[in-house]
Amino acid sequence: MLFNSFGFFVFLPIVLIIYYIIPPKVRYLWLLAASYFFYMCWNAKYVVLLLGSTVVTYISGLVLEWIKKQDWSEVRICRWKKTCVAASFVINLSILFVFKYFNFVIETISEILAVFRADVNFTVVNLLLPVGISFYIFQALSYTVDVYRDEIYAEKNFFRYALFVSFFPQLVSGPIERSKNLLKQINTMPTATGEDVRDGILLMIWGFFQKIVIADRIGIFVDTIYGNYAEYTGWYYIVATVLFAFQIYCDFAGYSIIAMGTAKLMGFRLMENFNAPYLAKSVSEFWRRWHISLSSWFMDYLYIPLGGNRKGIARKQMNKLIVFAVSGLWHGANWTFVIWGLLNGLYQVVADVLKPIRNKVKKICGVNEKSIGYKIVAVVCTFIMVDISWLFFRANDIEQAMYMLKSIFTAHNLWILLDGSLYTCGLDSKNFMLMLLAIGVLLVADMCKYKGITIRKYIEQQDGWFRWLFYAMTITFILLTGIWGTEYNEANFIYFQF
Amino acid sequence: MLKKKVSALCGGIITVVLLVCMLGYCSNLVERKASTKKFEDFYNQEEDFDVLFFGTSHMVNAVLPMELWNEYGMVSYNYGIHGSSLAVTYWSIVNALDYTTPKLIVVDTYGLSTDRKLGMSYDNEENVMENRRDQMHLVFDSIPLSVNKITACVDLFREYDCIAEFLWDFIIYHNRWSELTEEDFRPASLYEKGAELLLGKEDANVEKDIGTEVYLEQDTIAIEYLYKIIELCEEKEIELMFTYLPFPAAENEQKEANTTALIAQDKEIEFINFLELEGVVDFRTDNADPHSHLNYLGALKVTEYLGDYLVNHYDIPDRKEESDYKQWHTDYEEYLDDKIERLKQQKTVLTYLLALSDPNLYYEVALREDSSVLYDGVLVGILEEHREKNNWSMLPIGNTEADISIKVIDKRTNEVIEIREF
Repeated sequence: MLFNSFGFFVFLPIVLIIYYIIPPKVRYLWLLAASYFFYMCWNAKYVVLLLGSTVVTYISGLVLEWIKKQDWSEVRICRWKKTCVAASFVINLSILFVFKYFNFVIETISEILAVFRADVNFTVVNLLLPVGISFYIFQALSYTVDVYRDEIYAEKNFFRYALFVSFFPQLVSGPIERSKNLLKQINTMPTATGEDVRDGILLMIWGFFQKIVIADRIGIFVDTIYGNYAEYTGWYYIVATVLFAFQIYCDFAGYSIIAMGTAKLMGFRLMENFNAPYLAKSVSEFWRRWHISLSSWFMDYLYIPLGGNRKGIARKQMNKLIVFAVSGLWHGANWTFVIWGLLNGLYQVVADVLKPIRNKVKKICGVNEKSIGYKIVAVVCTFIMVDISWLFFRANDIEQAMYMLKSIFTAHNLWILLDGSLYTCGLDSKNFMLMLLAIGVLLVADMCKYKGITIRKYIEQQDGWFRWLFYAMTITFILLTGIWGTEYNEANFIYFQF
Repeated sequence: MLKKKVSALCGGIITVVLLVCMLGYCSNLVERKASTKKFEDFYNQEEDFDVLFFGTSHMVNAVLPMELWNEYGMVSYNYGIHGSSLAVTYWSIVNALDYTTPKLIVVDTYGLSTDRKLGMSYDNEENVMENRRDQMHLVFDSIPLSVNKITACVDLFREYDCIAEFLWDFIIYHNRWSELTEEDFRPASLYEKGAELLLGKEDANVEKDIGTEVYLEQDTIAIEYLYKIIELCEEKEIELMFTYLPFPAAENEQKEANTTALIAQDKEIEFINFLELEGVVDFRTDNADPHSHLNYLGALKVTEYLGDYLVNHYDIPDRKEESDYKQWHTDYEEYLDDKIERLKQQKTVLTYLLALSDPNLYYEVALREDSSVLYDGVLVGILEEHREKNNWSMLPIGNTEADISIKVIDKRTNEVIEIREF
């Protein structure tokens, strides 16, 4: 079930009504049933995988607790704890590997062997990628590690734990929650206050605006260019890639915000997943603002275990590249994603290595980092670097990416920005203008957020009549101008493939 | 605490009401107006119709309710739909009967061999719904939400998984916000009471006559729905009549007509098989395309025949003097004015002459000595048809330098509408 589907707007009110009617003690059971139903609406038989991952990590938590209580030597306890964590990781990552990476690995091996003229035919497995598998497996694994690190106690109640893994607002596309946050709330089963409900509604409205007014509209243009790239050149690619940066942002952030809003209607607080990422002044800052739940997961569960920055400068840079390569692979089983990840890692490594030189140059030139000019240049340069990596993310293969990149750097058809050519790529002039206007609204909102201004709070403080009118008008606007319904295919969330 | 909850509840209700009002306004605004325009007069009619005509585009183009009104004072509506099927016809009747109770329902049974609910069975379509979507919206957009509408949509569209868009067409039309024109804010009215007259003429592909004893080989979904129509009319005590309107019918279509005759005979229902009637239409002048539809000239002939038949076989009153129907006089004048506007827009002799088929117009023709009109069999045929109706007179040949010069006079006012030369 997608958020932007009729089914969801029938599902959610029913869930909420029953949630608030039944006694608080059993609410988690209702939410668990609703979450499994939500997942099964997509594909019922793959719920076995969700259940399997839940059972494995639940047992791993109990086993870890049991091990800790044993009267063994510290070495033996440590060894067995690591074995338990390793088992949990191996089982869960195996599931992920089979469904997501098996064919990729097979094809890569075949291609390598083909270079050495060894033609081997491997059997390709035709399995549908279970939606959200990368998210819930990572969320479940984070619990195992948190118990291992004594950051939380193992959850004894299986059903509460199962709800933590399958909580429907964030099940299929994040944010990847931590047990310290979500599991704790599941144990208390909060009730939404009036303010929570208002905030939740506003978050959902904002999320849907990003998703169906901005992201899905941009998607039409981007799909036209990237889907028929041989028919376009130069500035078409530049415009499409710039717009793709906003498409993926709004698609993913929109979903996360809808998830936050939905959870808030029940009193749950999910973590913020995006924080004005395109206003970052460096790639490192970008990654502290983009897909925060995933970045922090890799930081806590991969980068730090690899040694982080504790094993010397060379190892630190290597660890960064490994983390970003894995992050790329997490996004998809294709070398384009790996290159995307590595590129982002490389940006940060180079920035780190060149930092002393950059600082010296800035000092010599008298650059004031606090000036508006510097900030704008920094933001634009960061956006350009990130956007070049997005080209790899969006391209179907490396060949396409390199072809487009070459054309971008030799672009000479700037006139297409002025002669109406852009209105022939899936979006007419009115839709194109609306798209730009909506992106403008997004940037203003992000700038307010960057400055610590929460527009939602301002709206919530207004009188009732203003709020009611605001809700009705914005929902009407979103339904009127959003990309949904029959004429356009229900645009799938980009991150569902992960 | 209770006060806060009550206040929150009231706020929620007000928001929902505001939202419904705004969406309702927007929904009406962005909705394609084709269905509203076609059925506006149907829903605006407070008194019952006497006759309703149902069928496919054959019916749409062949029967002109305004001509029936003018000639017989008959209050009727052409509920035909392009690309329709008998299943859609059945549900159209069900929904129409929520608003009116006619004395007689006339159903054209073209498409009797169709073995699916939507479309014609001889189309090898991979994506039936995509090709029929526009036509189905033409049927359903203007029908107000009701139990019958929901039942119809479930029956017809469930297998295509698109029921919702027919119950709330905002789903499909909302992105028309970027295409809005004055027409959306102030829709123009149509004055033809559901009919559409065609101005065009193409050579007909006349097929071999297979006779009246050859029938469809098996039952079809269309036949199933025809029986449902019969049951419905029996239940509502409404008289029912079948037609098979004239066009150059292929073998399968002739079987449809023959099968209709069998069913009509079995159920004691009146049936006019126009394929077997000689002298009603002439395919040298009366068909708008090679295979299916009648043009204005052909429609006038069919309408006249049908009108005569209905008045002589059914108790259909002449309502011209009834005060409840005085709006129809105004509508008829609008209809005529609209036709005159259409006449002025015609760019070829052929379509101009076809538009002159209107019995309210009289014209004088002048031809050049070597006029090409004299050598055009179709144009000559049309002129001969008009002569029978006393629509025109001819000035001596050579009285103009144009190929043909036509002076059009409105019989109502005896005023000259225009002089057109080609």
